Amino acid sequence: MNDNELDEILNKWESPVPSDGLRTRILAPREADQRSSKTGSLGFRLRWPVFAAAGLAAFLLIAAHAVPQTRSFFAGERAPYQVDSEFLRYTDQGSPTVELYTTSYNADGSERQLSKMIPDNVPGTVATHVLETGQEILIGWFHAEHAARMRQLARVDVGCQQPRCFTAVRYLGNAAELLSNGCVAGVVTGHETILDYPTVAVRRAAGEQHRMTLWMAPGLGCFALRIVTEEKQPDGSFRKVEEKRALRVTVNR
Amino acid sequence: MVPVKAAREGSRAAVLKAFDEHHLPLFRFAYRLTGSSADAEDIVQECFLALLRPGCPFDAGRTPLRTYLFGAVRNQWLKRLRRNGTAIPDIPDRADERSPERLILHAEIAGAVAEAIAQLPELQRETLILAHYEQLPLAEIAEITGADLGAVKSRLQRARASLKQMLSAYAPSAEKRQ
Repeated sequence: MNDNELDEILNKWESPVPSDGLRTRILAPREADQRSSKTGSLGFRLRWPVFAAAGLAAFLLIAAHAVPQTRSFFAGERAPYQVDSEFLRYTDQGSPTVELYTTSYNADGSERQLSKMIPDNVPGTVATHVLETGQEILIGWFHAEHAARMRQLARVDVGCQQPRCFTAVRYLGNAAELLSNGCVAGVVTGHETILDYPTVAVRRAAGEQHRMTLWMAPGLGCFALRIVTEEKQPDGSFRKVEEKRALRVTVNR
Repeated sequence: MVPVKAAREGSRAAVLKAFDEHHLPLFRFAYRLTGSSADAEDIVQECFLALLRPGCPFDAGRTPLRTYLFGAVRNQWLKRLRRNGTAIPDIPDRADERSPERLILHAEIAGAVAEAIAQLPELQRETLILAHYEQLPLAEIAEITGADLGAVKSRLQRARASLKQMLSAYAPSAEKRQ
């Protein structure tokens, strides 16, 4: 084989293109920083929905103080760290779209969301966040026993429930047991370090046609730094349909 | 020249310019080193985020940004290699069995190339990818890999000789003999 023939053969191995999400992931932390500085003043075209949402949020906050279960949060439980994550959905062809950004942390083995952001949809973000908060408060009022049982479970945010992008949640069993067994919430498939945090990868069924792999970080109270949801195909293989990826961990001192 | 200082100070336009100018060749390099699109994206993401963090050691007066970034991708790859061992690359899918014969052959050769390059020793692999696929000058490859020019030439020569042997079945002259 001569050099030209080798070059011709080597050229047959083409590289794919990176996903659109790569650009977003690199720009997102910087855009979030710039956005927060721009919205310091409310010289902003969404003034009236923001005021309306603020009024409703004020009502909910006042109401929330009446609910013992939420009092501990407002009494100053401070997040020891926070994780910025993105949630992606994959098309049949495998190309991803970012549906949601969240900031959250784990307390007692269960995920607590500090904020969420639906890309390019501020009204939707405010609306779903207010409604989700309201729902939690109402459940605490009218179904206190149920709420108390739910608080013992290890909650994890896994993505968006379309069409409104309410936060999709899964429960991984008893939170205290999870913390004591090294975050093993399924069949262990490996170990990996993500953002400098060792994780244990565990796989579990997610309904009849889906499986979920979670990369749980014992050093972050079993926070799931990555979650991949796959759908079973007719030929028995699995195709990735959703993914949660941690972008950044900030330790609060 | 990309204003890296402006990029670090949060200028969206500068970040976009640095990304748009360099991310594709960096992704291709990372993909061919790791054999995985997902790993390649993670590596490229980490390199750009590190570039924008305060305290990044990049000095525009000493090294062009492209050279620095290729070196950063290489270092991220080596870090993963030491941590995880050599991964089996995602071999390109074979074309649909109903496709014309030439498409199936193309996919088969692409898969064979990926496997053959993955079997090269790391130093030869990175040199070949930078020289053949990214068409970088040997002097720049020497700077990226921290080797001298003579070593780079030697690695490239050995890599190409190995690949000729491993891929000999796909040579046009071999097909004609069949």
